[in-house]
Amino acid sequence: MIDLLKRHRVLICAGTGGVGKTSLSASLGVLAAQSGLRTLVLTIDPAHRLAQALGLEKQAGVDVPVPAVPGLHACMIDPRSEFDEFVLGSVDNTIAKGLFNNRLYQQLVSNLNGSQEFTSLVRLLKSVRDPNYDLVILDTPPTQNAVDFLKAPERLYALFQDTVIGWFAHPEKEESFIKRTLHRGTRLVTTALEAVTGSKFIAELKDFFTHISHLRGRISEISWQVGDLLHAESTGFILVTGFDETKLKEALEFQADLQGENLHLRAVIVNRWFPEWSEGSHQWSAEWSHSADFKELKEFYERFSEFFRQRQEAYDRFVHHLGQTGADPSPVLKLPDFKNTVQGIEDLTRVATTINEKWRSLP
Amino acid sequence: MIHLISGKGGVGKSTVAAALAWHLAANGRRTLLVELGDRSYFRHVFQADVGAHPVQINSHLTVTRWEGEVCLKEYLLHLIKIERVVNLFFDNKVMKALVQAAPALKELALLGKITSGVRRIGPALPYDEIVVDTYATGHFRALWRAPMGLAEAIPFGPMGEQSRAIVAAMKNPEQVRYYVVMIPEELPVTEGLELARDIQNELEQQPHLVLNRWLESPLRLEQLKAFHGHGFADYLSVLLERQNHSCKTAESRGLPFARLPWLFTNNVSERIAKLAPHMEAL
Repeated sequence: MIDLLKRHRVLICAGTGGVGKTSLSASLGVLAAQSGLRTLVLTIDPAHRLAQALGLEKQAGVDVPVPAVPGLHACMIDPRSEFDEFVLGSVDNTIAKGLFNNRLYQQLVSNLNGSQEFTSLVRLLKSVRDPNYDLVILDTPPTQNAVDFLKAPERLYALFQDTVIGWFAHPEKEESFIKRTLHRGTRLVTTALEAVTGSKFIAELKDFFTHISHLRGRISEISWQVGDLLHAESTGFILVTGFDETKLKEALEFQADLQGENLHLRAVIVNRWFPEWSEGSHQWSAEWSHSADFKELKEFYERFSEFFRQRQEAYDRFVHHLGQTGADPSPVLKLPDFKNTVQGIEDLTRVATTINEKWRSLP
Repeated sequence: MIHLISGKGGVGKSTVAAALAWHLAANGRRTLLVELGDRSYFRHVFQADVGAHPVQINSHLTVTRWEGEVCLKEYLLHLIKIERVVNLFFDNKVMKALVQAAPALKELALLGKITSGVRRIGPALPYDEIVVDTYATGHFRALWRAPMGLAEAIPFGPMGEQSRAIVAAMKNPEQVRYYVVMIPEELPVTEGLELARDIQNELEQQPHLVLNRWLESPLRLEQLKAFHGHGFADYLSVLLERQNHSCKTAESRGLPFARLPWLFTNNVSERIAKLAPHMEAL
């Protein structure tokens, strides 16, 4: 795993919500820093204790050194202020202010669907250029589908299509524009839109597009740069998935999508694979054997084990498919479900050690 | 009644939504189970092609999937009444890009559709209960904040009125009920309780808390102490402690609260059928 970390400038941990991306990103960060890489972990909305452990509880948006881990920095991305900062850095103040006051802009930046992904990527670009880091690990925002993340710049860029902006931002050109580009009956469409939304909404929309049109150049520039960065040989994806059949199916789809986009999936981490105890020792002393309680405990243990045996079958199907999809299947790393919630530096270190050990024992 | 289900990712929202729908249907309520988005989860569960056309699962349970864009189209048709115009609208390149990109439009259309029955808009839906498997916490907030933001932003016009009517329905405990699903672990509980608080503050409703995957252990914590050093016993102890702590934290909020058992099955359909009777408590 250390070799993998050393080969990359950027590692992106992707996956659906609730699979443990954030703590795994942080653990990888610890492992990288321990191996001598100057590392930054970019994360979004970590749980309170984890944020504390990383030294992040006070300030968002800045890189802070992680206490007790030399060489590791962490940063909590604040999508809202990151977006505002992006706007301020791209257009002059009057236009930025106009945009900040627009209700639809406020909706756009507070709506998680898209802007969070975009701002993480903007932030990633900035951090990669920072000569103080050898490696940047990005924890992606929780999306319904892992793939949503990749499509974010594209979706946001749709806002800046010539047609949309032209239509709303230059109403005086509307007539000729419509004649040029649109089907017959567009008048009806405009009228319909106004009837549905009301003229106030249309005004707000026009205002929104007028202001945001100034961002177009910067956004398209950023989209190109992001595309280059994501496709670079030194950028790797790590897919984090949970261990149930739907999650695994999603993981398969994600793998296919990454391959379709020519992005580099370097590893799949199946998190919370088996409970920690399934690998540990279960020695019991002879004196327990007569205890009625112990008999019950053993029966319970058997029930659990049977449940996990069944789950293993689902996983075997998954691996089988994984092998079928690509010529070069990504290594699959299985992590146990630790009995304690991963939240402190010691926990992260333990996970880091486990990751490294498991990686080494992969065939 | 409309039932909206949310919670942190990975807590079993869809399973809980399906179990609730299953339970309501079993009690003779004509129930519609709704999933949102362009991918179907229930397709795997019910082995049916779940799309915009409702699929009948049994005599009282129907499943469907709603997408923002499709809902928007329906809503426009309701307002404009002329299909040709609506189609023009949607075949139009500019409109397509706008719908994709414009903030809040799809959210508004989705909530519009969800609440159309109780607002007596459009044709009456032949259901007594609508159970919606919504989004994870963050996205769910964005869903309800869309009509709130628009209601404030647009004082006049049909869209402003529509937004205000949706917000009113969302705040009405006779019409909409909220469920926050959690599992007995620190993060899902913290995130779930934050969502519950926001629902209380912004929607002025008392959400139901559902603690999913509650492990009934045959041995109590004190009994397990005797087997200290045994890997499984130790694991179980930690788990039970965490579980008790989560439960206390959640219960202390004084909101309607229910626990759903951990089930030893990997089969989702079986899990849903087994959880359904436990929904009685809600």
